[in-house]
Amino acid sequence: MSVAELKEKHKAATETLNSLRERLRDRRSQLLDTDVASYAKAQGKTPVAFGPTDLVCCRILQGHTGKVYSLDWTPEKNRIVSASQDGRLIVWNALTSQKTHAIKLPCAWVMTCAFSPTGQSVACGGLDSVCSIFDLNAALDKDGNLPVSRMLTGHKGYVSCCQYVADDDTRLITGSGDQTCVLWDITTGLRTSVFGGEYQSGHTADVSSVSINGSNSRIFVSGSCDATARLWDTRVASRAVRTFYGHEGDVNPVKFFPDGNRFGTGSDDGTCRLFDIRTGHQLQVYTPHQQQQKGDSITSIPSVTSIAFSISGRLLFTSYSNGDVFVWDTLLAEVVLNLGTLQNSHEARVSCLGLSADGSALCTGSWDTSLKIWAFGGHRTVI
Amino acid sequence: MGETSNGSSSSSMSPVSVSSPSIVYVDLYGKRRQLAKVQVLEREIGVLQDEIKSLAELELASRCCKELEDFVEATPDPLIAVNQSRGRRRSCWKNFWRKIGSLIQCCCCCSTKGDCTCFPCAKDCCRGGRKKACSSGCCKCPEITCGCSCDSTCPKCSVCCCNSCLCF
Repeated sequence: MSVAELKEKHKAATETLNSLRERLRDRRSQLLDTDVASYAKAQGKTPVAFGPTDLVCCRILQGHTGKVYSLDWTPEKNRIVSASQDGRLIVWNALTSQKTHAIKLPCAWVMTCAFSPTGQSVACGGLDSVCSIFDLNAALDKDGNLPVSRMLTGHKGYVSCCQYVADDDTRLITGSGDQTCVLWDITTGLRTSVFGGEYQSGHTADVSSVSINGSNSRIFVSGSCDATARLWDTRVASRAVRTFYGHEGDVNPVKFFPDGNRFGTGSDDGTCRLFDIRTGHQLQVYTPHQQQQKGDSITSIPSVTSIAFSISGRLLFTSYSNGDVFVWDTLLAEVVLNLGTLQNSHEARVSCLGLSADGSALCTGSWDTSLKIWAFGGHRTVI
Repeated sequence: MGETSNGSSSSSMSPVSVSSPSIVYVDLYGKRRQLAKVQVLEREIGVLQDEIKSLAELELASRCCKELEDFVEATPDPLIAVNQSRGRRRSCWKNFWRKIGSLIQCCCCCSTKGDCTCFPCAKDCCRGGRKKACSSGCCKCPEITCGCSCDSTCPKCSVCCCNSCLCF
């Protein structure tokens, strides 16, 4: 078969693929007999009510001199690592606001950071296309800097996100601008598996985020600038388990729902969505009220920059490029609070947010160079 | 596998003799790439066809919604008041006791010295107007949080040079 004939075959296969995707979308829509909000309303649910002092800013972490791009909590103990445009990682004691480490990075263009499950190490990555590991207990070098303990090299594009596999300080998953995700063995520095890539069935644009299933660490989801999210099983790198369509713009953050059977996504199209991993159903779309008004041009829609679920999943925290930080009632798809308008709110875009391991506090990181911690300030009935 | 713009490696180019005396070189390197791309598409087509077949046995979205709601209702959440589910029945007395309760909680936690272990206790009643300067002169210590905005020229400021912050 000649190259010309192969190109024709490629064109025909692409048309078949697009036609099948449309048929799949139509068949799926017949199975969407309801969404989460309609179901909850039919059950008589009322929205979570927040008073003005129920969620308060109780800590301000100051020390970065550039935009904060990423943050991560330790699985135990209340410590946070943050990555900033100033080229540093800072490790904070979230309860006392003290810094325990300020790590000057070999490459200042950092985009992501993560805490290891034991809290002994941190990982970061960025425009150098490398994921660097730092042992927080290591001796400082002659310049007084914490040395890199391992460099994970192999990506052909920037490292946009990283997350350690639960309960395993030796394995980590990264997402990259080279359209792949990689599972690494930190002990050897080698790639265990590559998910996607040029001749594999994977993302067709930059990977922006990953989230590992808290109930089954073999499963993770990735979000991409190709407007899809994909579910992966680490035992099968050749193709995604499932591809989730629906968004109309780049998918930025992805995060598993606490029960491990659903996950949320946020996008440049201004919406967040909730998908079911076993059925592939899109269960809910979270569209801010402002976008529901007609006449908004696509250029004025604020992008979703980060998302997190509360420990029960009842609350969905979402940050946007215009500085809003909405707290959604996940079941009723209603905004119940805007942290962006509260006292002590950030002065610029919130780029990252995350819940502490016990779900009692939310940390937000912002382009205003600070991180803030929010906790429930109301009264609890003791049962 | 490296990519060349004209595929001029002798191993990828093969002469094909035709009836005329001239010889045509066939770009086999480009052919391999195209073949690989077609194979990827055919694999995707197979996956989609399997997925369409599997829809016949797939449960409705309402089943997933019920599972989700059951999980949320069964899981306690530290960020939500326990009596939320009873709806909006707050009276002014309830608000009064709410404020008193939160103050009492706050004071109990702050009565112990050392690290405060609950986030909400960084309230004014705990700080009580105590404002202390950092022990190290090179640090500027914002009053509210005692987070150091360390002077980068200070040789001690590679980490926060404040000793244990007594602002809480």
